[in-house]
Amino acid sequence: MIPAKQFKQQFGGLYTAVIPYEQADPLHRSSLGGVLRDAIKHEAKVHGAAFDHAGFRNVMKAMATGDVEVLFFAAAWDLCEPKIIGATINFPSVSLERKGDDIVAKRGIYSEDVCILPPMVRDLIVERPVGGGFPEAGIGTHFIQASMQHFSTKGMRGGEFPAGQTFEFAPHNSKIVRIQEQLGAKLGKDQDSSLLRLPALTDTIRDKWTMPVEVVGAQLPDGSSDPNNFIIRWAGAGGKQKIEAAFTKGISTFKGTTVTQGQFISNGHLPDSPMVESVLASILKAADDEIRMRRWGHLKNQPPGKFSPSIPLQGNKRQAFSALMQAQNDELFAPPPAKDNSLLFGVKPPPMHIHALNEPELVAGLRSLGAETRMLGPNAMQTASLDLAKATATEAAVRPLKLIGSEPVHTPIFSLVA
Amino acid sequence: MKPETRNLLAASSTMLDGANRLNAAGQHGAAMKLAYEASEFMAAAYLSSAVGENLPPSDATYERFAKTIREPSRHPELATEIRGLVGDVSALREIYEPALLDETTDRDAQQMIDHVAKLEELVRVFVKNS
Repeated sequence: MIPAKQFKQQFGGLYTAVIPYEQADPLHRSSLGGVLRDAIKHEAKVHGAAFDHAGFRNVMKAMATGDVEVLFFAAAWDLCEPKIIGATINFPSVSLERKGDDIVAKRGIYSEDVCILPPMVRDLIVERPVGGGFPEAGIGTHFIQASMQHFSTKGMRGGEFPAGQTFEFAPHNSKIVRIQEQLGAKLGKDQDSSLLRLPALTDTIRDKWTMPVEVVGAQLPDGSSDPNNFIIRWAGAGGKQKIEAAFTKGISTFKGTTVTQGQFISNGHLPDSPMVESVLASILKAADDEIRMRRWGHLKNQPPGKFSPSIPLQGNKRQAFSALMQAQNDELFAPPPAKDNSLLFGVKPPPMHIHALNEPELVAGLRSLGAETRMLGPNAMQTASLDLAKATATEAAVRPLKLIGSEPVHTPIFSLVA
Repeated sequence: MKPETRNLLAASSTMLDGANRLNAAGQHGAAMKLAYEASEFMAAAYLSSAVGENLPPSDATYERFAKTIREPSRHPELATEIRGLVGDVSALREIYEPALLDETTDRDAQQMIDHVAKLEELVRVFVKNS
């Protein structure tokens, strides 16, 4: 399943490897899917969040299409008995960085989840040979570093090399905070940074004066437009003031539903706060339109309301009838399907998580527009970023992202192809 | 042995004994938690003796302990054994999640208790000789 040459032996004797999902042979993909489900269920419980079994199928679909890039962690004392001990789930995104008075867009990666499975680690401890030892940095840190190295040296599925990584974290989780600080991540703190949630455009946003903004697409290596990422830009005072935002179509791994990840940044030169609010509102309104056009919130992204009826293959008529009746009962008591206005008004956009790191004015502006702290279960979350290229010394491989004009690239809303 | 070191080690031992009793009584989550906390008292005891700092038992103190005890110059004769044991306890601490304590089994809790106890035995040898 995992070629021995993919493993590297660490100091202490443990062999480790990161395995992209698409490299696994078809026979073993279903077992990897099981590992992923266990990993996501584990993370959901740790964060006090609910896990949706039906929604997990959307995660598997996204993995198969490449919208989500999953790396599995493998470890072994003996290469004859490797174990898959965890996984990390990522989306190709955009990394916006300040460069002097400018803002540069590069390919980025949004890290949705990292999970190590406790039962596998316990087994490794039991199997540890005399004289062996786990990596000194810790298992989690080791595999996060290995994942960073993988993306920085081998690139993502489309062949691009990410410059930056964005993720959310729970500030109360001292373990995660320590790991990320060791890796050199910039962690959001207090009022200067926030991870906010905007379920939908608020009236406050709609009522704000609309400022002209530019919508640009991100070009993929094959020249086509990235359907899952776009950027919106505003410039004022003759180009001296800049606010930009990158939007990525992501998926909630716990629920299987679409979530838009937005990253907001300025060049440090901002107008007065009332104008900042108008600019932010204009960016959010434009993003809302663009997301509708791209059908990010299409019903097909929602988790299925029920399982398909399971009819026993060898069942008799009575058993088949019983299964169909049961499915019908489920239908009767299932929640009503969401209204689909997609043919008329575009689709309802998914909720948005907004990352604003070290941007206190933008955070204040976004909160005044109605964005609230993003909660995961009972815990407030924060934003963080990592300069991946710098952390892995692979700056040379990273190129600025090619951007595609101001024309939104989207599937027409009147398409008959659902 | 300094009084602070002795007290911290005594606390750690008491906690491990308590963890064993809780585990035997079927309270596996509580046993796991107590063993986890015992590892921090043990770590504080070692640092109190080895570097002369009286740090409160905490996650940060344990991390400092894990780094310090593995320094090549400290205990070269037992470097391999230390690496193994400290790595085991560190790995168990890494996967410890308060939110999942209700899922702890007898075996899981005993694994944590036994590994912390083994490491504590080693720490006792070091602080006794220092």
